[in-house]
Amino acid sequence: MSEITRAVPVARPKPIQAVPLRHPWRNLLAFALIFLLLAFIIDAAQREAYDWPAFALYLFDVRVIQAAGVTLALTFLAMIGAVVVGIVLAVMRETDNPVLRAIAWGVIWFFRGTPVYVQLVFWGLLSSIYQTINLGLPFMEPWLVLETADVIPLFWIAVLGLALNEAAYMAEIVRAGLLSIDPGQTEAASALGMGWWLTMRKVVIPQAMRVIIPPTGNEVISMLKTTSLVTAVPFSWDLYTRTRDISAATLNPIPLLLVASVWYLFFTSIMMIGQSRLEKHFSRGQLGHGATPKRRRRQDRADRAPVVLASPETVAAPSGAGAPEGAGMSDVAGMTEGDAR
Amino acid sequence: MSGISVQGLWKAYPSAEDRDEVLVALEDVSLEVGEREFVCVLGPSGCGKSTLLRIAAGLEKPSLGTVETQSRPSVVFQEHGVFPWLTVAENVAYPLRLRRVPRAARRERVAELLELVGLTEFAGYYPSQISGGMRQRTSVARALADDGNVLLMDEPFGALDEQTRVALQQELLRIWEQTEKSVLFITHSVDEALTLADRVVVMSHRPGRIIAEVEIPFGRPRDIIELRRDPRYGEITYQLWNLLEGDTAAAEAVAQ
Repeated sequence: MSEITRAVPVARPKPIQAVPLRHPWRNLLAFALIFLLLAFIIDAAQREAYDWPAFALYLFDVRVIQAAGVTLALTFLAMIGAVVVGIVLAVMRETDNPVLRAIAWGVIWFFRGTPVYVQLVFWGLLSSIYQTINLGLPFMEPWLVLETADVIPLFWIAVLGLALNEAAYMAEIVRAGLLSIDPGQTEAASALGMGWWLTMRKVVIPQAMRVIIPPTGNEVISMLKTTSLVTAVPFSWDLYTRTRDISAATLNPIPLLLVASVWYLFFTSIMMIGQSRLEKHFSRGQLGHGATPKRRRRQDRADRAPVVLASPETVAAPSGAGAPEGAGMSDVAGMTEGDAR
Repeated sequence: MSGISVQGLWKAYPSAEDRDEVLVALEDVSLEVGEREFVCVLGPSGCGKSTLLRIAAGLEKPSLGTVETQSRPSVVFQEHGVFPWLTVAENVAYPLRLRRVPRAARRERVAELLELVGLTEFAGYYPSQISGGMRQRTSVARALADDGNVLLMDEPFGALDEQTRVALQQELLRIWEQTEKSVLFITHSVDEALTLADRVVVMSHRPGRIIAEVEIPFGRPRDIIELRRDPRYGEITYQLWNLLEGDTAAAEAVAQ
């Protein structure tokens, strides 16, 4: 048997005398920037062209508030449509059926490859391209003929155009989410006796959400801003087009642009807050994210526990084969103490 | 009735290179796992031993043949088996929730199981916050939460370091001795197979066939460190390696 030599004690290192690092240039730059910012604000407050009284007058104008509501409605309806169509396209792209795959690919290719403004103009001309909607069987006299312009109001044309464009992007986002799930997870679920739908609902989709939510939040914010393009349809009741129309009458565009910007900013700020909440919720179990405070406290307590397990008695188990269980256990506990961070 | 009964099992996959050809993963595999018996399937990588387990678990369909199990089997996978968004305790409770066990009973059973696998302290942790060994214990505890008495294990300790593996092997034996489970344990490790099993089934290179069944003479309960001093340990190790090597040599001879 070989001898086990004793560890040699090492002297403690001296305490470190820490001096904070100085940043003279950084401070100077900061002062300069703050000065410029203040100068800009003071100047802007006094500048005639901004016309702050008009800004205050129109900020809560009924027409503006209604237009803000319309913009929100456009955003959410278009997003809902985009998510639904996007999921369908994502699933189509992952099927074994080559025809479905090709169709999904083609749809995504078209809608990602053309500008949304151009698409919206196209949708606006829908009623010129297809003047009537005929209900009936092909090659036979239609049962019902509808004027396209009568049955589909411009609002819904705008929603449709925005949604279909966005669906192409959502499809890719959803697909990335579904592909991010380790196949071991679905297998584990089905080994627990869960069916396809239950596995999707309880295992795959919630985890895919972690990947899907952040870019989708960005897409919502981006959609809110894209709604300003519906003037291409032409739909004129959204926030931007409405404020433009008002200013066209008053010949004073700048304060109304400010009004529109403030409303857009207000909505996007709320959305950003909502998004970070959602991200936190869906990232449960990820390292460094989302553990709720209650759990964190519980972990802190548990963190200390292994230290007790690794007390001298357990570590100093006989080196022979006498106590494998104790030795094995303390090995594991000692190891996890480090890993559990 | 036996715990697991595999009869004349074949599994073939379409070849990736040639559409008209198939790859035979399993060739006429038959084996029995008796009630409360611990059987290890030992084979080189790519021999189809995991396929055998996946078919037994119902994750894949056999091309031919049947697998019968006494109850719906619980499975412990090599990795990625635990749910990352649930805490250790919630993972263990999951099969119970699926069976709609009332909350109080569930909590009691989970506490019992966590005690059994030594994870009581870590009940509130997420899988990403614990070590690989602890994740596998969680996986074992979750499998035990299923009421069935058939347990399938697919190289559950394969991704762990050796010391953790030995510690978990010892614990698995202790836990298994307290339960009524019939176990089919897949491994590529000779040591692991003869340490754990009552009987070792040796499989050949692809196509996977059973080339030998070796009874392990060690009694229960086993101390797996002590086991290594037993002269029979070396003898059986030698025997199993010869079986595997002989098969490799034969496979190479066929290839040439």
